[in-house]
Amino acid sequence: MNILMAANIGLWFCIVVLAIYTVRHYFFTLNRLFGRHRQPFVDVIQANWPSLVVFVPAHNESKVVRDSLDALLACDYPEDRFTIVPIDDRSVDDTRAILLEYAAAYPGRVKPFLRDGGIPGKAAALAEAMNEHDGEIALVFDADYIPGVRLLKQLVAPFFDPEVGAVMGRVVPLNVGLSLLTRLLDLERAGGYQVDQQARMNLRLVPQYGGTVGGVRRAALAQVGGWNVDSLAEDTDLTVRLVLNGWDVVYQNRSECYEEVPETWESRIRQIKRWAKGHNQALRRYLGALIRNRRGLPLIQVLDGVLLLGVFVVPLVLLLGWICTLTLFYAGSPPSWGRVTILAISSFNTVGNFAAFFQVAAASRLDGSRERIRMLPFLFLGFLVSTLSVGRAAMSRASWLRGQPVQWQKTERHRATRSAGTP
Amino acid sequence: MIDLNTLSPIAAFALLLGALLLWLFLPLIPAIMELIRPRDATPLNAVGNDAGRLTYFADSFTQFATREGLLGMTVPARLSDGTRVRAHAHNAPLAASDQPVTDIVVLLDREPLPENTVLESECVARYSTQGSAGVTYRALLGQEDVLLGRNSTILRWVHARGHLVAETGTRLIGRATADDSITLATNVSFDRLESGVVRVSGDVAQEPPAMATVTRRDFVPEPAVSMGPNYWRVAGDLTIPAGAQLTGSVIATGSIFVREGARVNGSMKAYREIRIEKGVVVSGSCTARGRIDIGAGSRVSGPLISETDIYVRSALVGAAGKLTTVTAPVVRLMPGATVYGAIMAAESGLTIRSVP
Repeated sequence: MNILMAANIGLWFCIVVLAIYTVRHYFFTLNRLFGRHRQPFVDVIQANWPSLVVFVPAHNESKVVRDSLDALLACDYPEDRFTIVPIDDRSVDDTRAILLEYAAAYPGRVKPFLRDGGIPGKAAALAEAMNEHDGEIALVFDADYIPGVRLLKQLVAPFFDPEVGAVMGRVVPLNVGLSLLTRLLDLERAGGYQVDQQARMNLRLVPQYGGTVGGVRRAALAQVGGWNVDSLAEDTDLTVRLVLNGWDVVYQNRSECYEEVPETWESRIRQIKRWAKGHNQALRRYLGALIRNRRGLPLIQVLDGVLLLGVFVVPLVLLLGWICTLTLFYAGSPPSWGRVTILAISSFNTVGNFAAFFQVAAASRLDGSRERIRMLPFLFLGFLVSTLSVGRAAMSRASWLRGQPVQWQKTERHRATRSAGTP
Repeated sequence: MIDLNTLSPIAAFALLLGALLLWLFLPLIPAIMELIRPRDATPLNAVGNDAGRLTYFADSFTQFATREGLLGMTVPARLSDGTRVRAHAHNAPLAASDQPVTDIVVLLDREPLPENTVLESECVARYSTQGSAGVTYRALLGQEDVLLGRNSTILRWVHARGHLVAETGTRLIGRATADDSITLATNVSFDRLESGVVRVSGDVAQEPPAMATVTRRDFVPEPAVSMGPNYWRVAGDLTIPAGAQLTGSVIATGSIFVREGARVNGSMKAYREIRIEKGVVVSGSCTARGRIDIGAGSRVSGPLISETDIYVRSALVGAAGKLTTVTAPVVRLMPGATVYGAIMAAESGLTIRSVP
């Protein structure tokens, strides 16, 4: 096979992959705009609530952890069935002192788990802390998250369905108006949750457990082998293992929780690269199992699972498509089926590239936002940065090879530090 | 006008480039304006205060009414915003009229309102109130018991500090709550109900025996995939035989049929229907994509969650002090149905005599 033929095949492969993702974007968006909104658990307001442990992994989170703990303590979950376990994993700031202060102030309700050794990282910290605590349901909140009063009950409600292994709530940026970046992330988050996650919930596909503002049934976690401590994205890893073992993952669009999004491009790039490496790692681990489908999952779920895992490979595919196109062009050899190819490429560039924008615009409309939609053209900038970051992450060894060391990948916090006793 | 023929190639190129940049810049103008002068840059008001608290409006109105003196010994003629207040009492009743009453109405004693009165603003009942037939309330706050007469309508919410009784033909649009209990006649439609106990009159729910009266046969679903200790997944339909006892939780990709007198010490999920016959006890929850039908004399302790419809006959759901939720787009309750907690019917709730 000569290089021109390879470029031709490569180009068509890229067109097909990108077309599938484009159709997926549009299908999800149209589902959210015109389909039935599926939220069977949102009205469960009274129940004999199961025992619950809320884990708050923290690594150098002294700027934000007080707000999170205060909000959790104010939740209306029955006190006798609810323990907060903030996890300090070798922080070098005041995080540990703050956690001990809360433990003294709320004995029995706040039980810190302190780590000075072992494998670093969120998954390992969660695995060790969970060994120390019972509780049918385990919820996880990052230390910068601020839940509302009813959020814990809303997140626990889906677990009354015995098939539900994990649940995910909606993340809402709190620091929206600080910069162009935070405004773009606000739009991206809206598109990702209001449209993408909820559409997958509506269509009984694979909503993703996102590692925070969510939780897992202890029995399900045990059945799938617990947390993978060497996973770079323990949330994606767990989502796929749960689905492969017949558990359901539920997304609750009305279970909203505020978070602090990155305020600098450096933080944002680090965050994207971490996600990309974790996703790619999960793709390598579970693609075969998904395709073999020994549990007999519905094919549409398998397809969605594969597309979910492959989402951070798309920029590489795009890059490959450009290389193939340039190769063919400068070799003086137009693609075979020239008109069809040109039609496919131009269709993608006129419609396909805007699929994600359509999704964000629809999310803004569903959220009732009026003016923030004006920021949409700037999303090109955000997507360009994301594409380059994901591309770089995809080239890294950690994305694909085994045995890469796991470490804390922290997003920088910018919230003003609050001292004890101040609101 | 510029004569394009006389332009130098460089000028023409610059003109073309300028036009192109302007063309590209156009969609950015609103974005730049929003960036420089933000008009919509606050966090989404996402964490709703009223979500999951059915008494939210009643509680808010109680605070408002207290501030405005509506709950005191005397009734102000006007509220602080100028809204008129009208008192209704035995010695000074509202006159019967075809015209709706737009003022806030305070019921000072137990004197019923005239039949078919339409109240377009909130109504406060200081004592137990016996509603007349056909009265329409926008919202009603009862400081004691509230009885809604035949064919009454609640447009937004009603809350009784004591018992709430709705006679036949009543339409409870929005939220209906009571501190003590809610009793519904048949042919009462509702959206959301919450109280210590909600029951449908006309029959008494027969409680299944607390202790087994016969030796039960342990039942383990087969063939099934184990999802952990006492946790099974069944392909297709599952039938739990009469008098059998299943200890654990089960998921069926078809329907689940629980025969007479069986016990399930766990929770159930069906991709299609769950049908529970007479005298069954389920200690956990029931979740189904299709219909859930709870037979007479049965008890389910956990929530009932369906994506289509739920029918509760003369059965018990939840228990005193262990409240639970019944939620589905369509909920039908029959005489004797007793639910401790909340009933949420997203599309249609109705009390009926029997399954059509």
